[in-house]
Amino acid sequence: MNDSEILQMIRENPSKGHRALFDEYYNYVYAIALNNLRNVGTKDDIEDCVIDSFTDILLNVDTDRADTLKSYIGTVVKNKSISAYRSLKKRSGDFSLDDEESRDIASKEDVAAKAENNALAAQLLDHIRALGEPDSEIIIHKYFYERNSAEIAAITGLSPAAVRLRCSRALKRLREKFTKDHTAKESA
Amino acid sequence: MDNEKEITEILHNADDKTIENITEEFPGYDKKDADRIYREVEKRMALRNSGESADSVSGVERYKKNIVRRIATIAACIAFVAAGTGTVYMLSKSGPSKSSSSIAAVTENPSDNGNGYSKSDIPEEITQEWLYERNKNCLSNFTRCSIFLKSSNGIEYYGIDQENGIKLSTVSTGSEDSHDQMDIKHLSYTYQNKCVEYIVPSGAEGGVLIESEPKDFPIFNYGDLLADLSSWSIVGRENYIDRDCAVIQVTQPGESPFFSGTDVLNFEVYIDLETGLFLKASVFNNESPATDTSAEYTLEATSIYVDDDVTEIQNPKDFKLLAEQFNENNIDLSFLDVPLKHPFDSTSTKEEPAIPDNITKDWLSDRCKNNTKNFDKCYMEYSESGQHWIKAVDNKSGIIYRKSIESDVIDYAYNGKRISIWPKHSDEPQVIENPVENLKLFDYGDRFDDLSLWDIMPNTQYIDRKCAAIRCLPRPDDNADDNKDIMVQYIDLETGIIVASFTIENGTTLPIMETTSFHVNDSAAEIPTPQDIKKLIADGGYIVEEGLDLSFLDGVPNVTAETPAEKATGAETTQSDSDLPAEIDKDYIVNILNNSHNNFNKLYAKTNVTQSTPKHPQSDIVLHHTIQVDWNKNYLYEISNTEHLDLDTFVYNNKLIHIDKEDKVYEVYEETDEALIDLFKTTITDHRFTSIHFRDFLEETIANKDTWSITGRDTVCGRECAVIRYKEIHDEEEYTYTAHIDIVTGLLLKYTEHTPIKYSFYDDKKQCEEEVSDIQNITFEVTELKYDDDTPNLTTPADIHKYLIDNNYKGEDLSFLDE
Repeated sequence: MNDSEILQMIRENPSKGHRALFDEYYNYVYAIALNNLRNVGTKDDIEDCVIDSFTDILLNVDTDRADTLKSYIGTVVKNKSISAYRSLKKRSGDFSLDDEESRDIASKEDVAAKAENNALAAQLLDHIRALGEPDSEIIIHKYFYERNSAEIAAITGLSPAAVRLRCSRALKRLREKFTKDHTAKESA
Repeated sequence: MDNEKEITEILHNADDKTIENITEEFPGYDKKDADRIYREVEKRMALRNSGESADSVSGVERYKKNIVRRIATIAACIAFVAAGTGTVYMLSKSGPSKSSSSIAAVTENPSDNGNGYSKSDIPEEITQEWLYERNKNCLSNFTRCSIFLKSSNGIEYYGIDQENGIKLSTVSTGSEDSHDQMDIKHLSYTYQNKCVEYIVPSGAEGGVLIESEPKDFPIFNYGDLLADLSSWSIVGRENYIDRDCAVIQVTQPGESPFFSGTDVLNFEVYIDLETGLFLKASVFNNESPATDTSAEYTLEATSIYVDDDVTEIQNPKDFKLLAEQFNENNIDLSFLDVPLKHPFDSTSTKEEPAIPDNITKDWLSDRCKNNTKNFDKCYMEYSESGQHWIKAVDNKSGIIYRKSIESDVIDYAYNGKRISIWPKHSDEPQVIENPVENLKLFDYGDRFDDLSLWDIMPNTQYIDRKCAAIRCLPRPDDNADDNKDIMVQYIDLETGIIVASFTIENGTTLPIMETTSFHVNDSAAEIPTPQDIKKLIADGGYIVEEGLDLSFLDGVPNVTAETPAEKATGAETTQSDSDLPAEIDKDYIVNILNNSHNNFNKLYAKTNVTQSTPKHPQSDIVLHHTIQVDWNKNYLYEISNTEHLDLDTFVYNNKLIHIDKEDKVYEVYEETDEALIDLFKTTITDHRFTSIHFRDFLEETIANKDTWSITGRDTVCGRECAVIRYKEIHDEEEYTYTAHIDIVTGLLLKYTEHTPIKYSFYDDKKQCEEEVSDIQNITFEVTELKYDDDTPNLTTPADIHKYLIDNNYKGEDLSFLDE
């Protein structure tokens, strides 16, 4: 369902439209919240942020909006997760809200390091894709979504044992591919 | 890239664009988690719409966690009940685990409360008569219900637990001034027909507790509201808050028992078809119900939970703790001390326990007398008469093993014969035959038949085993001097085995036998196999008694698989004795495994795969497949017989077709190394029929004979199998596997895995994450098996091609199926 259809549905049947919007963007919102809060919060905190984000989104979505829903939703969840990040950091005692630098978490990071990581991430993703399914799915669920074998098993339809086996073999292949790439670059 | 940590760091630090790509390509969408989260979103939206500020909505979760802060004030009552009106720990859904369970997904429970109701009762076409009955008798449609409503009064909550006689209701409103609490105007708690209410008088800041009469909540009692069928009609069927509802319009004079203050029944209602409850109602202007669409009064359920979806309705003990805070009038709250008839157990299953709560003599006597039915294997270490022993039995293989630690004597019974192996202290034969009937372990004969000679003492534990302790009087007809004392024996309730015996002489308790270690079935240590014993004798240079033939240690066990473990599924033995090899050793196993493809041309099998964790039985998974293989023509067809898993696989000509029967599409893949192997599918790599569980074993482990052992024989589907046990280290944890190999064809017919796993879930009561150590059980088993001429007509590549075309499946070119 595209954004226009979702917005139209919200206008005609808010209950259904809200659910459609949620279903379409749940994954996206969850991933952003997870990525921002995984180091400071529990799974509960991440879910709390997702719930807060969607509550805001669904209550305030402008059905006449011209731009895409994704940019609006992305903005809401990022703001919510930054806010949650601060609260959680404050709770843990090692974050000062008065600190100017803390207002933009991203700005704390070294730009060059980030660029390098982005390049590595793109390369890694290519190699993960090349593994084919279900190995690529397993790797992403394990290392990005941080799910365990049992959860991955439920998603992929494999058994946890198979997930573990495949994961270790996939990891081995990933290592080989990365090493090969790295060696090729060095000798180029 | 050296290790997993690097992958994690790279992905975690990815930019937004990469995250977008990942989430689009690899959705992490878990429907059950998503449903649960959406319900929370709805609740927060409802709360915000009722006047709460944004901060207070998100604060509800945090405030719930800070519940202690509120205990000293009226808000304490609000806090616990607000847990029922807000985000609800005690009163919310999600069965045994509120939030994320890290194990395999919790399957949704249909609302089947055992009262004869289930969703399948809802007819395709809803009639007025049916709907009237459904609504009138709504209380018979569920045992527990928890429902939140938004109305003109504020936020209302109603909870009912009919099994325990609990009814709870609250009415609360949001406060403009306090952002993180709700003001309760009224609360009613009924337990076993006694009721107290908490009321905040108009204008007062706080409330008090008063005695009251039990009330029927209107939401659960409609009486004959819809009896006059001519006054209302069904105008539609809608989904409302994920509930299947009939929409009716009512127009009739009279007083509504549901909406106070109205004198006309003029409203539109959404009736939940499962429970018969009103989930949404709009009361219209009296004078122009047909045209005036502005409702004067509305009531909307924001969420509803029924039966298994309801966690505990507030129990009386916990309610009393809070009620006492407001009990200025010193009302007698002792009625809340009565224990629940049916305590809530979030992990309970509906299965009958094997061991009853009340142990009777008859039950215990039978348990002991027929104890071979209670377990497959038992391994125990004990002391008796000043010596230390090991004894073990394997009921399936018919092995009895006993060893004296001090004297190093072994007794071994198998296939109707018994030998004793003595230490090599002399030149006399050390391996001698003894009467097998004298080696009776756990065989108590008629010892417990005379119930008058013994009594059961209160249940007890012995070496961490649940036991019954019995006090035995001497037999009146037994004149032996050493049988005149009273004995106390501890009987393990699971197996019916005596694990300790004491005698009471002159008031002194003296031990006769005391078990120090006791293990059953999978936790039992490996019992020496007949082959192990034979090897021990040969390698140890023991002198065998003249005329003693040890070939009985090679034979097939005479014991049939009439044990509590899985039984052969009725298939008659299709093998003749001449098919069966006399000796099975590791070399033999390696050989048949590697050459299994030469041992048959066609195969038809039905398989089951089950996966379970004892502490979360609701997440059990069972998959059923039918497999057809034709080696000569090089094709394999795997059909899913599992509900909600409509995926079939057809392999031919080095290509694999993945058939989605639900969406009627198929995809064709080249059969590359590993890319297509799936746990529940098979592969014809190198013409080898196997499942993924065993693939690595065949390829990597089988050659290393030190890592696995043959532990016995068994039958699966009437086929004689060698049972192999092996261990694997993965992620620094040890996993143990058992495999049943058809000793003629070399096929894997059964596989079991019992591995330790850890997962975490959110404990509602403790309000924290709990990590659970559990055992994961996986079993693959062939339940029906036919080879070659016995196979039915198998589905050919041409058949598949025709089927996909005739049924309008969408996909790529399938001409390779005609080659």
